[in-house]
Amino acid sequence: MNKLLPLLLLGTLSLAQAHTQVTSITPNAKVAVTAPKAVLLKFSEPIELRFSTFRVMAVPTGQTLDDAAKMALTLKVDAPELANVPFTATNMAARLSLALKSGLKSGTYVIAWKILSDDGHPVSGQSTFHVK
Amino acid sequence: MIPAFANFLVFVGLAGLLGGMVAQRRLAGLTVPGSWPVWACCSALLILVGTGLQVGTTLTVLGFTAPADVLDYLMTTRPGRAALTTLLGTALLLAVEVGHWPAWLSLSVASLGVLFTLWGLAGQGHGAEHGTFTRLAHALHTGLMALWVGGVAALWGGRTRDWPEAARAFTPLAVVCVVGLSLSGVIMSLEHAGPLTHWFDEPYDRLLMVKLAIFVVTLLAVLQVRRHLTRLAKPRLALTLELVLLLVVLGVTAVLVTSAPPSQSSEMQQMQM
Repeated sequence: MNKLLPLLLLGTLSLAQAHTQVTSITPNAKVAVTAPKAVLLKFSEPIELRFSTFRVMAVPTGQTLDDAAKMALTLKVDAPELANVPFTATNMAARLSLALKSGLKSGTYVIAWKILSDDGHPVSGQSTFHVK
Repeated sequence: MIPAFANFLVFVGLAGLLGGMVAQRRLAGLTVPGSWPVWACCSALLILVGTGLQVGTTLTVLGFTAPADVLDYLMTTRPGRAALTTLLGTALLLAVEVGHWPAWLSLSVASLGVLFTLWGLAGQGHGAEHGTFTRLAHALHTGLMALWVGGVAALWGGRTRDWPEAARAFTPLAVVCVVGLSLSGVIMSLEHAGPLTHWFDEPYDRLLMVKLAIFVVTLLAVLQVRRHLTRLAKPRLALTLELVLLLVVLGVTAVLVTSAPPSQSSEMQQMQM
């Protein structure tokens, strides 16, 4: 039993995950779609929506995706440049459906986020989708 | 780098408070510059500033800096509650150090203070993500690290009439710390970096190896100090080397705490802020 105890303890361990990540996004960045009604984000673990920011915005002509994402995150929640409907939530969630304004024009859109990782670290990221 | 610096302040403060508390009682006759209550107050202040910097940096980066946001963060999120728990424990330890209470009351409140402080600290980083057992390992690791660093700092900066006696009284405690740190370190490394064969794959793993290497060098410095146990004069140079190496270990640990452990990469472009 004495020899088994350390093995039992090690068996309770699982390989650690990094900070919380966005694991999947719909619509997919690689496929052009007709104007979607919402963006669906899934996270590697539940996040605090109260301390998270999500923005969707058409990428302005001549701007890089990085710059567009940074700009989107600085906009107020009801800014007219945003393609998403103003969103506020205070619960924890492992997936989020972000409603979009109707009739999005064709072009490239950036989805930008800043979330509070479960270990307390802020994590930012971005993705894109294309509207036909 | 600000979050890592904030963690470093907290670690140094904890070493001063917890390690100083034990050194004061275990190494009879040891006095520190100022007095023990001043030492404890300075240490608690470091923990307060470090914790405040951690919370403030996180909320500033996320863009939630209104007073209501700060309150909500501290009361409703896991890292926020962990920060509050740390401060509560620190306040209890400080109260024991500056108050003149009966021994039984001091011991009870100090035990509670240690539990709260270490449990809170273990809940502010990667330790909180992987269940009670890993969080316990983090708490134990942090506590033993504080005892060792604080004890060495007190021996280095304090005055004692009988150096060999003080050093001999500290030795069993240091041995317990080294053994406990090694065991809890292995558990945490397996948890965060995976099996031994993966311990060089990612930047996090390599930093972990750097910490391990400095830890081994520190043990060599400890052996140098032990050679002076029979001499009357304090080995200031050897003690300084040990203390500096321990502070470097604390610094590397502070960076590790704020770094992302390895995991499968994601297609999305994501980064820690």
